[in-house]
Amino acid sequence: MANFDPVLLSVIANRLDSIVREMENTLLRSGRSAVLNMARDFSCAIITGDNRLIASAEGLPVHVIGMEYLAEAMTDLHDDLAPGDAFLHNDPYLGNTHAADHTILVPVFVEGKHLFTAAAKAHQADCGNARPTTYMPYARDVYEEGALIFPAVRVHRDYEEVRDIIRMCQRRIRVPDQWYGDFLAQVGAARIGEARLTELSEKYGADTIERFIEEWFDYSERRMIHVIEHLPAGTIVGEGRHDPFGPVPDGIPITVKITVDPEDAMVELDLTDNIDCLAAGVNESRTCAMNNVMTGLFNSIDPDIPHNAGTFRRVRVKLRENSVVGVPRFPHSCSVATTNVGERLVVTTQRTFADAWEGYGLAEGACGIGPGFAVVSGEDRRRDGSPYVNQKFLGSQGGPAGPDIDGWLTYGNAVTNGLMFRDSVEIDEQKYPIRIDEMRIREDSEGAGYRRGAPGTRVTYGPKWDTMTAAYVTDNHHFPPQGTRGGGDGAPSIAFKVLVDGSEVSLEPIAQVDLAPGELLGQLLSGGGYGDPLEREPELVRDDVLSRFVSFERARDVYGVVFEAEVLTDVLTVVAKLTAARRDELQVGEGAQ
Amino acid sequence: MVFSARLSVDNSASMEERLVGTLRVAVDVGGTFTDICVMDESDGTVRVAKVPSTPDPIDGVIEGVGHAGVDFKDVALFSHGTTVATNALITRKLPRSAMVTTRGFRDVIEIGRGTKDDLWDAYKDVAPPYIRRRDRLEVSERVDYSGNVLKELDEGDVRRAAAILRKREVEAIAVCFVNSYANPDHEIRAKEILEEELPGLAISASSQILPEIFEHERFSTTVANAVLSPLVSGYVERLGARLTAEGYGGDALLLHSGGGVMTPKLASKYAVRLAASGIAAGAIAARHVAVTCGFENAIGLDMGGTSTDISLVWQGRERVTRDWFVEYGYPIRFPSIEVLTIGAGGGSLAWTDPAGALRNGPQSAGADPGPACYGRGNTEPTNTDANVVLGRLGEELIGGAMSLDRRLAEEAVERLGERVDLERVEAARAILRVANANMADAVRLISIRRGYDPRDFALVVFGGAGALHGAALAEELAIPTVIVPPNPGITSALGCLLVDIRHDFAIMHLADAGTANAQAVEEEFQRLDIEARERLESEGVPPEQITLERLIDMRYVGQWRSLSVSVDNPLDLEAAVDLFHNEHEREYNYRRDDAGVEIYQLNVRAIGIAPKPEFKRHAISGDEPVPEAMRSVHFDEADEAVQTPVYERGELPAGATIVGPAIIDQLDATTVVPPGWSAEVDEWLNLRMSKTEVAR
Repeated sequence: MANFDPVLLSVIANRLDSIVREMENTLLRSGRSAVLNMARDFSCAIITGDNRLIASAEGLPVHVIGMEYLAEAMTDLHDDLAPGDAFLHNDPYLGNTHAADHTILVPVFVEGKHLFTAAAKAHQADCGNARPTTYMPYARDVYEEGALIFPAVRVHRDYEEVRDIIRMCQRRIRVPDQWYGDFLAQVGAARIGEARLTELSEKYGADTIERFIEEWFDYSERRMIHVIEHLPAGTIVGEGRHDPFGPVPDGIPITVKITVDPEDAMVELDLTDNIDCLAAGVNESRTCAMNNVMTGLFNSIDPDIPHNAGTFRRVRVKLRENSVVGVPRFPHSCSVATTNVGERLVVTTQRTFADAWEGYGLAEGACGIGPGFAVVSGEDRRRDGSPYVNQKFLGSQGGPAGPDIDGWLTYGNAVTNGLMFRDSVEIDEQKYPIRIDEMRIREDSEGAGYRRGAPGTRVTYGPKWDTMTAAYVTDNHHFPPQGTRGGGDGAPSIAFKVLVDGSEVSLEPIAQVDLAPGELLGQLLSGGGYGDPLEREPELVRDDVLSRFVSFERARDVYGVVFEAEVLTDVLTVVAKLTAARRDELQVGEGAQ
Repeated sequence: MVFSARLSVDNSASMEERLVGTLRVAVDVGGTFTDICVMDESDGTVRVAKVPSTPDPIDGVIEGVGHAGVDFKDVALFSHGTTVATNALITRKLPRSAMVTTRGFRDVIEIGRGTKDDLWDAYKDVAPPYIRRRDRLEVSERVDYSGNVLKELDEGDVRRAAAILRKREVEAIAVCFVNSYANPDHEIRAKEILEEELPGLAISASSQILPEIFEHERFSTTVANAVLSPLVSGYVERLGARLTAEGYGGDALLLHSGGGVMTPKLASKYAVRLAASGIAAGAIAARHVAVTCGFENAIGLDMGGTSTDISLVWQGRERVTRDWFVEYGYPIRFPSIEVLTIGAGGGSLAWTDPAGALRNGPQSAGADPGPACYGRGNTEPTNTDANVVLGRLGEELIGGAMSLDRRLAEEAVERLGERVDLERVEAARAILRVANANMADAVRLISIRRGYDPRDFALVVFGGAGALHGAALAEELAIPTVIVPPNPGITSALGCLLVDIRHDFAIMHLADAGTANAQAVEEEFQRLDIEARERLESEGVPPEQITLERLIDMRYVGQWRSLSVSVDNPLDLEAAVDLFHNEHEREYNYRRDDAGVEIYQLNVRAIGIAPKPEFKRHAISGDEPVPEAMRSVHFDEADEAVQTPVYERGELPAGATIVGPAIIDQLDATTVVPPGWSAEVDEWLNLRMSKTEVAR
């Protein structure tokens, strides 16, 4: 190990992570909008002065991988960086995820040299889009999308605000005061990063820090090499498909070609064989295309490796210009880049891994920002009719099954890896003029399997007194989460409305709807299974039946488990002999298909 | 082990009804040892004892007190910290329990907040809730956010639920309704019906356990309370009966997570408050030691065999958190002394990861087989082995009761050294530096991460291994002073002697701080004051020993996490808002004087001051300390081994100064004084170490 002190190596690496956590803690506790302070839809990171991601601690995968492109834009566009600067960057054509993610970048100088960039990225409650939502799936281009876009513009000089930019934002963003509160929290977080990085660099000296950076990347790369060397060799092409909607009646096909080369210790994720950009808001930004397939990869291997530029040296992501999952051609819109197609990239990659290599990868988890994650808006009569707009995080998507574990109920979604919080029912009812009617686990929705996907949830909520507008982008309705290695698919997602008389009508999967008082908006979700359900331990099926995750019918017909009596009591008993026979019968049935 | 102390005469007359004898006994039951600390009020002496913990912890308690030479008839006050609730939650040895909740919401505690603890670990299972889904029953009822009834409670539903649960023979029930913090009527009525239908069951209503917004957190806390209730009430009853049978005439006082004590009657009702009982004792002891030495700010480091507990004292107080849990996803939202436990102890194993980096813990060799030098079959090096190799630890422990095999330690360290290309001594140094780095990170987590600078703190080190690592850690963190209390091994038990009766009362009070009616807020506070006083008086605390503290949780409009600021009695709301802006800036790096500030919750902390032992100040002696022996020791500060004097702690008089390098041995700990450091024995016989040279 070269001649860098190995102890100092881990000391400084841990220190960088704890700086990132301190930044994140600041943002979480002091943010103004519920997207930040309740759902935790933000991430912080540290990037080297030469634009390599070095530390991201507990950042959302979709936010942090590719943060280096943001810093790159800052250094490319500004040759006069100085201490006291801060930049606002949300330009998806210059390295950002999508326009709703505002990033504050602060260059950190040590002994006169730009050694680090501290970055704080947060999803805004509103970003000035044409409609009151941060997701515009139908936007034909960036102009229809309507977001204010800032290509790394200076918002602080000499630690003082550049008021022009602040005023622009306050003019066009729907909830200006809330936005400004979040802006201050983000700048506060980035400045804390700056202060801590300066202390750290002064303690050890810039020289040592610079040597550390190289050593840490080399170390991380060695860890990744070790992982890849132990993977089976091969190439596999995986296919997935996002649900159809308006401009894409057949859905959006996705092809991920994965090549694992243990000899050269490289993994290649090739997205070049995909369709062109669409005249819709669902195109991936370059950063999202890259980070989502990488998340699928990292979900499939050793969780303990560092996620930084050193590790990334061993992953080659091939993107094509003007591809829906590549480098977007201006002015195609990337409004929905972080979810939907992005989530499909994550789950398709991890499921393809599982399909190809036993013991690796995961089934598909639920995708999309359906009604349980809608952006809702309206007026609040309790506050003199003042407008509200915010994204709800009420649903819980069904988690994917893995080789050894059942899917998590607490999965959150594919691009955030269980880092974001669902909303509190009670807080939502207090802050917004809405009522949440139920939030419960949905029976028989799990992707069956030796390890089953998580059952989805059923969530319904609606306005109390005045019309509420809800914008959502469901996926998994036509193409539900796929199982792997014989595991079943999850149940389809369904968007629906409960009318005042209690009857239910289904809604378009991707829409903006108005709800009258007393009406409820609902969503059903699920996750895919891993392995043959006929191999699931009958006792585990019994547990699921007792929990009413799985019905007797499904236990019998999908898992092949036969009980002494189909009555829900604590003495429910599996009949081993009949179960074996039933499973043989189902096996034969499968073979005949 | 006996050391002397004197009880201050002024306080000794308190709590008269309990003072039938003259002894105050504190017992701290841990996983491995039961520690006993006894103070005799008649002559001011303190005795300590340590016995192995027993399968039924009460046996260990009785045995240990006997071991300390105490007759229960002479005991005036018995206080007790226990891990019985913590362990039950960890091992999930819990009675069958049920939940009765609002229709539509029985899965709240299972879906949680939709998060998992390890971002990248897709292969880790999530623990199920403490109450299985089948035993979570729904009833029709609903109130809204402001407490208005949207749907009346269907009492028939509750009776039907009772019938089902009777058949299932559950032992405890949690009643958890949405928005019950705003209007508890439905919950209370449902509880009454259940009590009527199922007499004798432990029933916890969320609005009584934790009347706060956030359904998952409130439900989860209430569920933990319910599942612990039968166990804790059984435990305190049996303990009480045993103590009575042994001749003790009073109530056992139980240490709760918040750092106070409570009576068995309340512990049965608020069982979950004992969830961190045993862990809190060390933090209290650290605070006591620091404050006695004149430090308002301190970090407590209790390093044992398998883990280290780190706590923070700020302005003379333990830091209290409301984000506490035993298993991720199941929060217990009671104020709990914030103790960060990490897997770093004397027995933590050093290892190399696939990329060749040296790592340390959290896997531990435990007490058996223990470190390689114990000679009980473990051949992987631990921190203890590294300390032996470097000569920092001698070859005898506990005054010769246990010997360490230096050769086995050397072999283990050498084998690891080969893997990282370091020779033996360098490898041993590296092992300890990684261990210290891990501990330093943990210290940073609870200090720097909150905006506290460790340089403003004293480091109080105790537990079996704390004093070995104290100076090195202080060096890493630039902490100027390290304090080693007189008996590091039993310092936690001392914590149980030092506690007051303490309860926290809170009420949600949403109001704009700028326009709030200060009189209305004051009245709310007064209501809480009355409730607090009544509770303490029902526990037998005389009025003159009651202290009530007020805090307001505030936030900028739109934030939902609030900051707690101390306020005066009577309330000065304007001053409170000013303080909020200042605290917000200290904690989060910005303030907004132009933005609205919202009052969120009012809190009253009720304290029944218990008499404290006031340790005797020893006369400063001019005697020069004389080393017992010399030993060759490797320090980080010098490349080569240094001939180092070894002192016997018990022989060091108050006022003695020892200039490093030096080793100070005592029965239950070894203190390392590195070159460039010196140690001074203060009038309470604490060792205070500080750096004498600015640069190395």
